[in-house]
Amino acid sequence: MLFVSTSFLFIFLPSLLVFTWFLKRKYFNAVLLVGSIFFYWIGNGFFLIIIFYIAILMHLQIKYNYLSNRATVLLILMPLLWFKYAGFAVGMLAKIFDISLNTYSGELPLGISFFTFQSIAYYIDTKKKGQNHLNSLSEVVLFLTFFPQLVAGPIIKSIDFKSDLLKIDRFKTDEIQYGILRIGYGLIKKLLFANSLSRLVDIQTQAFETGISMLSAWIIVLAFSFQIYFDFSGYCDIAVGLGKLLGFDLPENFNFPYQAKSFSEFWTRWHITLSQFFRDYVYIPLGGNRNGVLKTYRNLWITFLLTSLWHGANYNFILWGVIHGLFLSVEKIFSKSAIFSFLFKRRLTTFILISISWIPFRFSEFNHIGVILKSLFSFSFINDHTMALLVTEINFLTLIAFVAGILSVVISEETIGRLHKNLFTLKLSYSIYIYSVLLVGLIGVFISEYYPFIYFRF
Amino acid sequence: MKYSVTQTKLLFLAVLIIPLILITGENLNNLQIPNTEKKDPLAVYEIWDQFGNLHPEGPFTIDEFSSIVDEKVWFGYRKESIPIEILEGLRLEEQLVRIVLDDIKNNKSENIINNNISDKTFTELMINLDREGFIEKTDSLINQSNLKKILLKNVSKFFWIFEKDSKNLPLTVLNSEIFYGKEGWIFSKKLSFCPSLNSENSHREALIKLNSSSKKIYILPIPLKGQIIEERLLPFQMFFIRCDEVKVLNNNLKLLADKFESINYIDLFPIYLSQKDLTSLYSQGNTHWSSYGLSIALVELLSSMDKNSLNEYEKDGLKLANNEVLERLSFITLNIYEDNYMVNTTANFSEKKILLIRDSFFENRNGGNELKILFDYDEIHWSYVEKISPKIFKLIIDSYSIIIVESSIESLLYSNPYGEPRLEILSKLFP
Repeated sequence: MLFVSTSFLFIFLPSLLVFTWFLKRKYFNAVLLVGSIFFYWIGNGFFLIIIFYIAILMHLQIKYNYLSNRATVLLILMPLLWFKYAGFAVGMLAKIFDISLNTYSGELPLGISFFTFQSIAYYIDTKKKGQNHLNSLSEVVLFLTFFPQLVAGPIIKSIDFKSDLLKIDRFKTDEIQYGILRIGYGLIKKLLFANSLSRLVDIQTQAFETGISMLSAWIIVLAFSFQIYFDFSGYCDIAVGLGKLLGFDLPENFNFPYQAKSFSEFWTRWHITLSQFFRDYVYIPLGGNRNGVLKTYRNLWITFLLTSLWHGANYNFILWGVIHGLFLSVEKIFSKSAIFSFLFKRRLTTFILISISWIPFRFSEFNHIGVILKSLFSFSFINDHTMALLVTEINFLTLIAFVAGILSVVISEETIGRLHKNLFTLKLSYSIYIYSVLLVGLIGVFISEYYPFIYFRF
Repeated sequence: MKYSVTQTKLLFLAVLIIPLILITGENLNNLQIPNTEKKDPLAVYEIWDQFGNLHPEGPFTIDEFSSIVDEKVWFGYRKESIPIEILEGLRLEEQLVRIVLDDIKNNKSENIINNNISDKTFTELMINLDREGFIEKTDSLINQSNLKKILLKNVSKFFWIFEKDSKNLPLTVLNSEIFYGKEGWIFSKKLSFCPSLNSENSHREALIKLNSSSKKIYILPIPLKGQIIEERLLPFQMFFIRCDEVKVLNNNLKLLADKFESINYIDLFPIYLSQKDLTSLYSQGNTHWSSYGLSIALVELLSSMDKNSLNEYEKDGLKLANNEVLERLSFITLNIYEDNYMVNTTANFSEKKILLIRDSFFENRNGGNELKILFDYDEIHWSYVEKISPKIFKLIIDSYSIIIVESSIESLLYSNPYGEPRLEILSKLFP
């Protein structure tokens, strides 16, 4: 059940809100738990068992301490390794040894990477830092199944979750209105912007076989860059909004990422909770930047290798991670060079390089990646067939989405903040504004075609 | 004005729940055709409005039923027991129709199984823990609702205000299967497909195969609207969607086909392009030809089929232009009148058995009705031809001495750059 599906928006959400908003406070956790479990079950069926398995494992281990921490983390990781990586590893072995091996190649449990990492963070925090915030098994299950962030984050910490769970004055007008506004923003970003842009990106890749022009290549690359931003940040807007409706403050995952002036800054603005996870549970435990230059680079590369593998067990994601690792290393090496800073530490340069780095993220075939990369700098202005395909896909929404994408790069964060602030100093009623945004978003539900969220794959 | 928490909650819930209430109410009245009945493609149905008035154009086949577009909301269905009518697009002897449908059914068992979900009630789905079915049924109820249709209509009408006068940018939001050129003129997205010119060998082989049969074959490839009326494309579309290869390919094939005795290739490109007013050949809100474009094509076809016949078209008043595609896909009704043309012929094919293998240009509403006035024929739509086996195809064509092959040019000769062109599909089916 997608956040943008009619069954979620018009049936599941209002039903759950009726119960959570109007039943007595003491039933809140139970209703939320049942609702969240139902949400995952209806989309994923008996993969729900994986979440129960992890919850029970962690709960018993924290209580009775049967196993070592390493063994526990490994057991938490087992479903993820089996469902997401076994196929890739076995395929690699089969290639190396030229043998035929079979493994699981079916559907990936939705959100498995997210709830596995959230579980690891919870377990480590509890065992190593002695912060056990969740008292009962039902709280652990609720923490893992909490539907606003279950399938694609943001990754939350148990301490924050628990403090939200304990809130007494849970529902406030401002918070609910802000939640509605964020849901509206999310629907618009996903349904009107990201889905429109996907028409440009999802053109038949067979067209690449006849070669593509520089213009086509740049349109595809920029369109995907904007699409993935609107898609994932739109999802996160809805997640944050849903959290607000239920009285939870979910962490922000995006902070104007295309305003970054370097790759290192980009990772403090893009998928923030994942970056924080890898920083806290991989990079720093490996030693971070405390053990000399070489080890710092080693830790950085290990972190990026894991980040890329987290996105998918495929060579294209590894290539994507390598590109980011490379740019981050170069930035570190030349961090004190004034010329480097002058040339590269710029918003537009960073955006263009980030956009190029998305190519292996979007296209899994290496020959397609090669064709686009080559075409970007080919200075070929032939009138190719890809451009004809693109042109027929352009409509008003595509144009608006493209313009919105460009504005997210060129208009500074401060200006956007100022505009937003000024908007509310107008005599325009705040309620009218939020319901107008929501209405446009809901219209998007009906006029948009079906495209699942990109990050649901992970 | 500051709302209380309860007011805020109730307002938000109302926004989400009201559409649901409307849809639920609507579906209580609106009976769905169960898929068990949908499996009988020969069945026809009638629908009525809220006052019980039957739709004047009914009864409908399943395909027509699901694509009815007009201002009224229609309810209910009634299956007519007799007479059994034959589906448009499959007008053969009844025995042959059954054979074709059985053949397709045998090859497509998967789809039939998948369709069962909408036959089940919500209670059944819940009892069976069919979660995917539950979601699918819920989403499809909402997505097929009149509420959605009304919403789309209004969104579309709003953007049409700007689109109908736009000369530089596309200003619409609903364009899944078509795209908009200048001033609301619609075009098929297939216009962007451009053929490679190295398919001559495969075309030659296909023609050799067709020629070896003892049938007279008339191939009528119809140019896409945008290949004729470029002036109605937006400037940037005209710049990028340029494909001279189509005309070259068409010309080469015409020259090639002329060498084969049994094959007649009716080349509409030069005839269409020589007309003074190119925009009169196609309708604004349709990707198919206008009455004028159709008449020209019919005269060419008749002249080719009977070289001694006298064929001409003449103006016959005005008629409401057929803007069905725009209406169906974008909910825009254009009340534009165009010249109506009538074709007169001295040709007589009463002793010939003619089979038309057709695409949408000879659908009843686009040209089929006019063709039927000129001569009697049986027909089979490409969607069936592409699914049947060579054995069944042979069984069908054995009964006919003349075969007319109608298709839009891109599907017939080059499809898209990656799919199989219909000419090749046809040659593989020929014995």
